[in-house]
Amino acid sequence: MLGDWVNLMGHQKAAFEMLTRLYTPETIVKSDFLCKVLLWYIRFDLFVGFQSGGEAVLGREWYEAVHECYVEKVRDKPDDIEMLYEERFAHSRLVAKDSNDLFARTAKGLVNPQDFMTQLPKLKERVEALRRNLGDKLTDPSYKVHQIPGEPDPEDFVNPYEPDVIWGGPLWTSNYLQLDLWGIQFMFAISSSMALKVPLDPEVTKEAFKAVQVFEAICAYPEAPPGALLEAQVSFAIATLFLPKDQKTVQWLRRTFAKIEAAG
Amino acid sequence: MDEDEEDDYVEYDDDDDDMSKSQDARDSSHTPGSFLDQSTSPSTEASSIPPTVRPSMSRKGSAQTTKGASAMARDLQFYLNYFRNHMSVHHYSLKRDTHGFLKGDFLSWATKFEPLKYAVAGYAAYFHTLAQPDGRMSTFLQFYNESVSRLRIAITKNKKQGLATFLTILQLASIEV
Repeated sequence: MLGDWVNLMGHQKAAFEMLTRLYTPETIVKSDFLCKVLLWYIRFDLFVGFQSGGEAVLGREWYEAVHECYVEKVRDKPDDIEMLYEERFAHSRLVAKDSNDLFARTAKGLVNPQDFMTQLPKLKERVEALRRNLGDKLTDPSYKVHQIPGEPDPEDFVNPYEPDVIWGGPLWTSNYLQLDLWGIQFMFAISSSMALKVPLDPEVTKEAFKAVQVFEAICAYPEAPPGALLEAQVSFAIATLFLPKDQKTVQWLRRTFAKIEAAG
Repeated sequence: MDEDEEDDYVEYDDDDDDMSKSQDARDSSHTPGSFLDQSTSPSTEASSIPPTVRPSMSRKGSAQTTKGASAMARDLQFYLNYFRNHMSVHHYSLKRDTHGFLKGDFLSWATKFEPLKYAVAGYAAYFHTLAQPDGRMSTFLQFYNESVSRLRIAITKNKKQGLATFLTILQLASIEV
């Protein structure tokens, strides 16, 4: 937002010290409230790690603990949609950390090339599995939004008004789950292409167009809650890296980013 | 937010400002200050004074000695109300408001711990400002600075800081991502 990430690093460090002094991976998962607070901190942890090109600071055991906690809750109540979401999000945090850390450690020379080449396909499989393993309950097509009022802009290269692009009602969160997983997939694709010095996978570009369409549909959906665009724009921003660089696209991007800027 | 929690809020509130005026603020849909008499509009005052020289910065939390400080306390209610009515878990990128996290447990911590309360109000002020055609960032900065200075005082007074401090740091960091 204000872009002062040096300051953010200061906050993240202070938060890290407090978190690890107040709790352990075992104690923090004793309360639902604290689990959510941990996920909140984890967002900063990953963000700062990613921005600085370093590893996420918090140990993997914390990421595992919060995921395991939600796995158990899902086991107890397999129909509790809130726990189904939290379990998937906690799992995606773990994959995001592993992905970020592998590339960061390799760049620092902490992982030798052979190990990297052994670990990379395993990581790729986990990243690709994310969107396959959402489960029927979180992707129930009967909650798709069939119609969003409005007309497609001829200047726009995705159509947010197409039926069934986003979920509504109780599955609204699935849009964010989907965007989150795309974000991880895109980051993996970029890091992987840089590490292996190969061009970006064209299959990922197709996914990027879909992510842009979901973002645009969230913007156009009149029932979206406040702040909807703000949270959706992170994955959108990553997706735009895959878009063509022609004049029309670049101008459209400028307009869209101006819209995001105005929203925070 | 339902009515019960609104009532809880008043109960938890250990702040020192005039409660009846806070009540007005909570129910008002106007911008902060518009419920005051014409001569002392806090929103104008708040935005014209740079946050570094605000008299309220040095107060210890109980002395309502300056007009600036009491105006700020009333603005505080306005922005907490804005938080309740116009903000969601998406402003925090927390994806899902599981078990009513944001306006339940989290807000309850905010009402009990002054530094967090000001940080939440500051975050709300930031989004409120963006929604106004003539909004000024100084309002948000004023709350942000107030939160930071109150947090410093709290840390100095009590070396053993707990969850409330942790939440305040997370809230303060939210503006930067």
